[in-house]
Amino acid sequence: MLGTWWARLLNNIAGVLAPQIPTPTGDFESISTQSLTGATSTITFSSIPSTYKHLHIRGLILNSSTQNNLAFQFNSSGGTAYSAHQVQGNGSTTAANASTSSPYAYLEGLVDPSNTNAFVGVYDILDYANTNKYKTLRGLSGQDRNGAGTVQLTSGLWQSTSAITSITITLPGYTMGNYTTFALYGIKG
Amino acid sequence: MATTYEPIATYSATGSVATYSFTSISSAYTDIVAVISGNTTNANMCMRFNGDSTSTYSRTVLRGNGTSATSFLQSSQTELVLDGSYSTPGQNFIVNVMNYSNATSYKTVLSRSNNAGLGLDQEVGLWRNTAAINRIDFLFSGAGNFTAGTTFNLYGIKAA
Repeated sequence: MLGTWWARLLNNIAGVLAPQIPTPTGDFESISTQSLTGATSTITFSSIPSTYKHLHIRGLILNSSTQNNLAFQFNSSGGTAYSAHQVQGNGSTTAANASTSSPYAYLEGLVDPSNTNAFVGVYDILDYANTNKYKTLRGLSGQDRNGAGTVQLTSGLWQSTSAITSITITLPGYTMGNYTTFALYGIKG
Repeated sequence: MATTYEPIATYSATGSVATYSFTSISSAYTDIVAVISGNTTNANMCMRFNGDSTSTYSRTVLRGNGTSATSFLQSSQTELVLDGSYSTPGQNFIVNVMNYSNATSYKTVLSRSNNAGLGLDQEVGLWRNTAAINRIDFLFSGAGNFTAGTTFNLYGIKAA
């Protein structure tokens, strides 16, 4: 009986105090990071919680097997639901490109093979868990090689209302190599 | 989940300064982001890492100025120029220094500079050095000053 009384008192105290004691939380949290120690064609972030408002990805690619364009796919869903647009500069000319009805959002982030000059990109996937609208991502990316390079602004669309629970990043048909790293972050709303 | 995107240092200029430096930058983060906002007395604001003024910097730029889009590059420079700076208010620079403390690859920078009166630049820059970055200097490739009210902020982003 005494134990029950003390337990009730402690619970009451905890209930009163809890709202007044803020739990330290952040608005920008690291969810997962993948760093390669060998060659692979895809990096996948899976089981992404729906507890954030937006997702943010920061990536660095080294030792790719050939020159190719970076592509994103969500929930391992291929088909023809992706489109993308880019504005790109290569140091002498500019170009605007688009792809539609594709199995990936081809971001035209042109990745050149190098073991020292990294391709880098930062990407935002907006309202990724919202089930009322299609999913949009945007990116800034580029690679400079001292005398050659590309830099691009990109956007991509996945025509699905599903919440995004996994993200696949790939150089379709080719590999990313040692020291390649992608980090996934969640931004609270 | 680990909370990140932490402020490392901040500075607000109270008068004209030709150079501002972030020093003793911790290697505890994965990426660092510098945000500079304010006025300058000249164009061609630039940055150097670890005090290195050798010809190890290069960049590729995509620029829009309201009438056309252009792209150009510079190689083997003694500093990494971040264009768009000029003596008009409201300009800003957001500079992502990726994997700044790794000792394997050269250091790559993604930068956006914005000035509604002039245009905008998206830039990828390279410092051909594998040393961990522990110092960043902001200065001008020619004469120039950061004037009062210019703010410099440095953030660290830590991967899980």
